[in-house]
Amino acid sequence: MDFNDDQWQSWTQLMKLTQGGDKAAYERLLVEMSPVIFNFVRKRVFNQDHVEDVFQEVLLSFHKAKHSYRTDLPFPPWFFAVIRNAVWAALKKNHKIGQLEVPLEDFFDIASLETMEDGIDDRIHQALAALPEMNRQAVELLKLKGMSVETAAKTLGISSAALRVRAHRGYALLKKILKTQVEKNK
Amino acid sequence: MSESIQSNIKSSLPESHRRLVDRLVAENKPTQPAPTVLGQWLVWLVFSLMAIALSLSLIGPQFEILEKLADFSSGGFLALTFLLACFTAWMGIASSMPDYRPHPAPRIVAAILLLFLFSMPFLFFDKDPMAQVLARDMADEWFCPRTVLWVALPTWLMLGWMASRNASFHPKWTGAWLGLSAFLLGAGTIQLHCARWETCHMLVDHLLPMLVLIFLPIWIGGYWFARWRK
Repeated sequence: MDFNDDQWQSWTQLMKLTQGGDKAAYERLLVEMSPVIFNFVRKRVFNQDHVEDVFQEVLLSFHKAKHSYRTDLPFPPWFFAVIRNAVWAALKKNHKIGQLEVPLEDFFDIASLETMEDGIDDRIHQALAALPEMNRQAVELLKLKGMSVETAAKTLGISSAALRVRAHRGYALLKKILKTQVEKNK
Repeated sequence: MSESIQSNIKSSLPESHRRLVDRLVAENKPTQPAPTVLGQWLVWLVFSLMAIALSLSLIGPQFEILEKLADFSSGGFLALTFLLACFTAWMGIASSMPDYRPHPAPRIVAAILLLFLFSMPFLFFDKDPMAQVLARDMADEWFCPRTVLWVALPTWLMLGWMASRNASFHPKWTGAWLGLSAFLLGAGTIQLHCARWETCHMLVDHLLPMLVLIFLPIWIGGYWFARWRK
């Protein structure tokens, strides 16, 4: 896509209409901006698995921050500053989620510490059953059924980012439940 | 861009992106553009002046306030306190805008000025024994720190309400700037009332609440000003 003053003026105009509640203008703006944002994200996110998640986060941030744009000011500096900040925030969030992630193998390590006679599978299934519904679904689809993040997100009808958050909260809870079981049986 | 190109771009987007675009479009409602940083800061300034005026009408200014304002050291201390409150309020509002670009310069300037403000009681005012300060605080039930908090709280809430309507990507920094501003306003207000220009009293009862409690606005800000992204 070629960028020139006309393009930016057109987007500024679309932003004005969007702030006025014009849905058609907003759709046109989002569709036209998407490739630009996607390329911007792709150049800044080294882990290609995260590009789509970050892109969606950025688009959501843009949506929620669009009221702060003043149409009497030039659009490009505001647009790129928001996108840059949104990418940074999304990466930070993904990094935090990554730190919280507990590999499934760890659950077996924890469960193997136990001296109970029943099987590891049973204990994990019991712990899974104790999870809140939305976290349980996310963990089951990703770790037990082995679906990809995108497929699992489609199955549940949510965004990939939302699915990751649900799954990571599920892992953390699962770890806690299994640890409690181990401590009880010591 | 023509309709056909636009439709081509849309069809080339992955299914999840298209669905997200459709959802965002469906959610779009008319919005009022957010006021400028200057506009919000002026609202804060008016509110703060009213808060100071109200506080002073209740507790009264110190007897020799005009002499103190004219004096280099006490006038300088008051001027620096209020100027820093204005500067940190501006930075807090600016940092709550989504297009804010963090830069170390304002942080360094603020840190140097704060350091100087905290060192002023040592440099320019009479030394007083700590035991005496604590004894007086017990006797007057910590009037000065309480007043600092009573002035800081509404101004912080007001600033926080304005900042939460923007869209901060740096919520903890926004919380820190706004917290500093509110505490500095409280410290300045109590200094207009309190005639004890003594090192330990100024540090412990006027400035220490800021150091001890600054973690609160940072912590609350981390949640409050990030809520728009949830």
